[in-house]
Amino acid sequence: MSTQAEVEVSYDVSNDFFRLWLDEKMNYTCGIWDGVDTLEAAQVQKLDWLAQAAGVAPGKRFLDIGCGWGACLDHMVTRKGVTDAVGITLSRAQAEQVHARELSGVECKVISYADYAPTEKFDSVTSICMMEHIATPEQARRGEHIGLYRDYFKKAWEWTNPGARFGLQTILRNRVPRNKADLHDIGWLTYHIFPGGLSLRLEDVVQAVNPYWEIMEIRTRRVDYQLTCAEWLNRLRQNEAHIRQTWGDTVFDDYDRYLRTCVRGFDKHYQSLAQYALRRIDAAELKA
Amino acid sequence: MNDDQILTALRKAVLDVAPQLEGKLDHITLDSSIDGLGLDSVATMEMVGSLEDQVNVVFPDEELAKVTHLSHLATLMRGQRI
Repeated sequence: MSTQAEVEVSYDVSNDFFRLWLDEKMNYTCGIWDGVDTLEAAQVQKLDWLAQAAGVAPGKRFLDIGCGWGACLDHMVTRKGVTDAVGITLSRAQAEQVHARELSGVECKVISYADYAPTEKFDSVTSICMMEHIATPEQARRGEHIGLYRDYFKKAWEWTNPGARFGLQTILRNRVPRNKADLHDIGWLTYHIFPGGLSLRLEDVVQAVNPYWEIMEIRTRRVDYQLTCAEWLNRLRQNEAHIRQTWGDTVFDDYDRYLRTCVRGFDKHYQSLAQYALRRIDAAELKA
Repeated sequence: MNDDQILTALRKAVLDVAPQLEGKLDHITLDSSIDGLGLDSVATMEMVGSLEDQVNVVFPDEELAKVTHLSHLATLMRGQRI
């Protein structure tokens, strides 16, 4: 699992830095571009899809595992009528931003999912591109990753009421590049921008959800993530002078390389993105 | 493809990524190990890319993970599973 220090390398450069090139609500994950042409609209569509997958509705207690800067919590409270929600993150800068939103009925905790122990159960869960922090590349090489993913799904099962739904989103690693430049860029991205993290294989998720969650729907969004990263790169470059002046040349150059690598990675099928609608398998269903 | 054609393609793929091995690949056979070629992991994937280009096939990554000897690559080049 990524340590707090590793997570903060990825997300704590500065909230103001990320605000310059993400959408206005600070979603740092793939949007859905069906029929829309702005990043803001694509992010709203993404959150709508996940809200539906998670069965979010007024009166449902909601959990966001790896809540980022709070865009998903914000969406569920302001657009979906949620009045009782919790977000957990390992990033202190992200938690600060969630608190700054002053969302009614929302609690944000800086805690690892591995240590989280809610006193009251949830009806709806989302987790958007957080699973990438569960297994390190070294743990995957030792074959420990499926067990770690299964432990995560088990925890989400234990934290939820019968009938709960789970809207999940993960980056996928699809294909290893066959040329030196792309191999070096992907390796650099893995160890420099997201240390301790690893994208999943789709089959890892399919294997690990059992016996806790039933997959009701899977939708891949490779081109959507390519479009999202291209727009992030466009906005980053529009702010190049300010970023270089405020955070230094290395920050700009690293993030420019990272986003270029992602655009190419999704284009060349090295990576993809999957959204899942999961349904909690209640214990009684499995009894003979 | 017969064994000679496969070995010729394998030698070309290795030389594409490691031209310094020119003249040093005559001894390799399908029983040779990948490790014995002295290629690092990046060069090995580049060599795979060269092979794929030559036979116009894309090998599944999970099959590549099983490759330890040139005979495994020959199996993939013939369109079979390891």
